[in-house]
Amino acid sequence: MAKQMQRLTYVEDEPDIRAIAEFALREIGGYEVDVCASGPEALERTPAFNPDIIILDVMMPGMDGIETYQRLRAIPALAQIPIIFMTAKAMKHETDRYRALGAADVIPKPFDPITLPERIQEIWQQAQARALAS
Amino acid sequence: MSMQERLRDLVERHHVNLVEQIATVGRLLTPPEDGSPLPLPRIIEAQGITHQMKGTAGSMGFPDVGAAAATLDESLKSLEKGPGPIAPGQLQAALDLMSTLCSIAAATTPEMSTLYNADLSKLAK
Repeated sequence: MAKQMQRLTYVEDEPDIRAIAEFALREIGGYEVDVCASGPEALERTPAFNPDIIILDVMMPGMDGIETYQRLRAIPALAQIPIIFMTAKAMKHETDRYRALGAADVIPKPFDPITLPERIQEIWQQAQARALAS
Repeated sequence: MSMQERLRDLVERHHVNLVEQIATVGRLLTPPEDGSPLPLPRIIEAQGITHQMKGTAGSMGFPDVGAAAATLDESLKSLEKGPGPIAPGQLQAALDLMSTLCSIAAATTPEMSTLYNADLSKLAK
């Protein structure tokens, strides 16, 4: 039986956006979600949580999403986990940069919380297909 | 509390925060009474808030507020690129956009969010 996506780490500093995305992922998507308010919090908790996918905000005070991404990737257990950037900085040159870093995809803000879980599932499936093909 | 009620609660709390954020941006962009230029750090702080607002308001089902915040955000970003304090004349375009954002937000209630009456009955897992 194919592996299903169940566990997500979600990293976002802004409380309202964190609340609506958490609602969407937990209650609409039915996923087990570890919500982190900062990059350092994600670095501390994510290895033990062992998620199927990670969603990262880009603009965060202190350690931003890019640095968090690089540090998460440097942890061997997380090196292959698909990481999605969720950001209001989603001009083409910006999304190209995130993809060049190795991001699985980019979800622009604002997003539709009703369809967010479906979109995450789709990205996860695409990442699985790419991993199998390589 | 049902899932719909919890979603409404989130929207209502966001609406309160939105009003407070707009008031903060308004204070930050108020030109000094003595006619001196507005210090750049105030523009930078205001832009940080409008940047957040454009993503959050839109995701909370207030696309008009999000779009107005995005326009103001762009205007503030262009002011940030200048060499230093902002002269009152340079600030006028941003103040006009701020006024538009205030008008749109003042006419907005939580019940107007596209999420408020969203049918969640077929979505829950």
